[in-house]
Amino acid sequence: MTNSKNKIVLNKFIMLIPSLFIVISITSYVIINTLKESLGYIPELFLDEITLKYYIELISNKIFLSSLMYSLYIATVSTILSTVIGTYLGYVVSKSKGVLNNTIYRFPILLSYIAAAALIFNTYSDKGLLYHVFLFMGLNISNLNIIYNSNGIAVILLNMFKAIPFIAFSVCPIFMRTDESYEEIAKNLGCTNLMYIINVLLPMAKRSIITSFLVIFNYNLFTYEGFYFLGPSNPISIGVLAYQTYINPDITNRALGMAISMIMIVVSLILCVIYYNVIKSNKYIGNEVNMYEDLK
Amino acid sequence: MKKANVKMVIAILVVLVISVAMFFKRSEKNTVTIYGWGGDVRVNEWIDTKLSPYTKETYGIDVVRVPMNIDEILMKLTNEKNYSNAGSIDVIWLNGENFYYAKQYDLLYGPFLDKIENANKYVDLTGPEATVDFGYDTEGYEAPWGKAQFVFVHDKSILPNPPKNSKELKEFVMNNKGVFTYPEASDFVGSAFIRTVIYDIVGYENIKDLPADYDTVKNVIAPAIDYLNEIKPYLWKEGTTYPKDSAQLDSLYQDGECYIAMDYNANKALSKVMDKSWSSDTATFVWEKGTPFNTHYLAIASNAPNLENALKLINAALSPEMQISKAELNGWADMPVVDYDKLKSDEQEQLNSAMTPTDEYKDTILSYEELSKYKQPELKADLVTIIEKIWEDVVLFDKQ
Repeated sequence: MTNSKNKIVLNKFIMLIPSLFIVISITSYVIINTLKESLGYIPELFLDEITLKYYIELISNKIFLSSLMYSLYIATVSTILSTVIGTYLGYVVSKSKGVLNNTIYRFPILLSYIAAAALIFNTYSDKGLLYHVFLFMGLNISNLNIIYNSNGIAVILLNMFKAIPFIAFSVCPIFMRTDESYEEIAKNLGCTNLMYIINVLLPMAKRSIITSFLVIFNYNLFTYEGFYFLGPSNPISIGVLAYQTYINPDITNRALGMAISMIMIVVSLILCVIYYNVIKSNKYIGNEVNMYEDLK
Repeated sequence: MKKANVKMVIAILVVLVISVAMFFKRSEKNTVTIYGWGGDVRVNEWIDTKLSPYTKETYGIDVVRVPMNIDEILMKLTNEKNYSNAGSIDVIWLNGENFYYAKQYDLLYGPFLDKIENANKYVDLTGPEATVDFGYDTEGYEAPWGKAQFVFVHDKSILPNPPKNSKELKEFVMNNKGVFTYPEASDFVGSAFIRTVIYDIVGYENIKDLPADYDTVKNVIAPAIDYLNEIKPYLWKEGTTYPKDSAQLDSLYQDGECYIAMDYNANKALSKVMDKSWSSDTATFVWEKGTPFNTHYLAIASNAPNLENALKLINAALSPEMQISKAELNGWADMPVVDYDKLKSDEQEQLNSAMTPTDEYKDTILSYEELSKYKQPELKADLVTIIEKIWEDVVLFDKQ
């Protein structure tokens, strides 16, 4: 029996080897190369002295620090809003019987970030779709000031546009698998819809919500496209700063760009560890229905 | 079960072998790649419909145009520098600080200019256009391809008397809040605008010989940087954001959100008027103390996989036929680098005809003679990079 189980595990591992080989080799190469260049070792640019000066420079660099704070602000706001709205959307979709309703909400997941950014731009720019809709209604709002807004409204909208369906998609199957009798019992005991969601459904989907939150937060923190196409010139996000530093005509700035990238990699790895712990820990599994155990 | 395992291993091996074979498969086609900025549809069309067929017909070479921003091209060149085999880039369209850094880090092949037959025949190889790029000697590592001058664009029906110097511009922006802006310094055009302001306020002569030192340059250009900070609150979006590039400014001008556009191609406005994107009342203008003028070049990557073809492509690009075609006002409208006196009389006539607008559009763009009166040389490449950094620090990020 044990031998047969081991064989299954071994077979699964062998099947994973090709994709693991590609993913691990590329990722490792990128991380090692980024670390090497961030330490100032770029022989092709005649830089061959290992140094920490680029990291030290970043710590005292006002532009870097303000970029970091700006990215944190945008990522936190857009992820919290997306998680709350996405979870509710997941609940609504789980209650909906229509096939169309169950598929339409997934549409933004299929769009690339750049395509979604173009959609947001065309809708909310000063002379965009919204402006023309208002004009049609007799309102001439010539300065919507959503795109390039220094509060990052357009970037938050983009992040939410992409993340809300993702969260809904993650939690919807869990809500769908809850026994209808739970709702009936809860309501018989005087639960309102909101109380039922907060006290019964949310604990069940806790782990799924937390892991989705982490994925989205990490992406929103270091994303490039949204900030670049819809964000203001100042402040800029850490992703845009890394890119602009990296592609500076003075290519010795590459080491500084790589140091910013390395910081992003380290933060992402920390978030990965948290993600892994959440998945492995029983603490985050709902008491009433253990969906993950079911799936096993 | 065992059979299934064997099958699976065989399948994995087959996939791996095919992947490796495809990875190492070298192109046997007779091609040459040209990497350059792809943000102007007229330039792209000219390369695809004029230069490529001409090169194919003359040398039997297929030209592969790869649109890419020059900073990304430099990164690709740097990444490919240590390849033991050839890289993927043949010809590069560049100039200024990008050439300076590419040459400094041995990313370019050369010298090769003396190997180009048409350069020897039609270009003044001792003149500044062939020998100096943004203050530094080219040493034959790039071939001049075309010339450009920075110009402003206005709509005569909206702004009949456009500002001709920094003082007039300041009055204009303060009296018309939100209708003027310029691209970020990281953009070629935005950077040229900042230098135009510096030339007007500080003077080209006072900065051209400065050492490439951040603090020294910052002190000397301080009046111009202060000026840009003073007009900042009166710019489009109150200066909280700037267009990423000239194409974005073009759109703002087209939508009537901004009253002045700008470009480093003196004739681009004409094509915009001709294709009805811009009003027929559009006209170009320059400032009294002049605007930057430069030459753009073609260079070859140090590890170009098709070196011979690269030399042939550059030779084709410098042929009188292609230089005249490139100057056509209804096409790219780029100023030629071939010496007018070295052309045959029929070629001279063709060039005159190519560069002369029809009566309908004669007031849209400034003539070559008019532009020449107001041309100012470019600064040294490393000074340009430092000025861009100062603008970012002081004007964009308010870091004093």
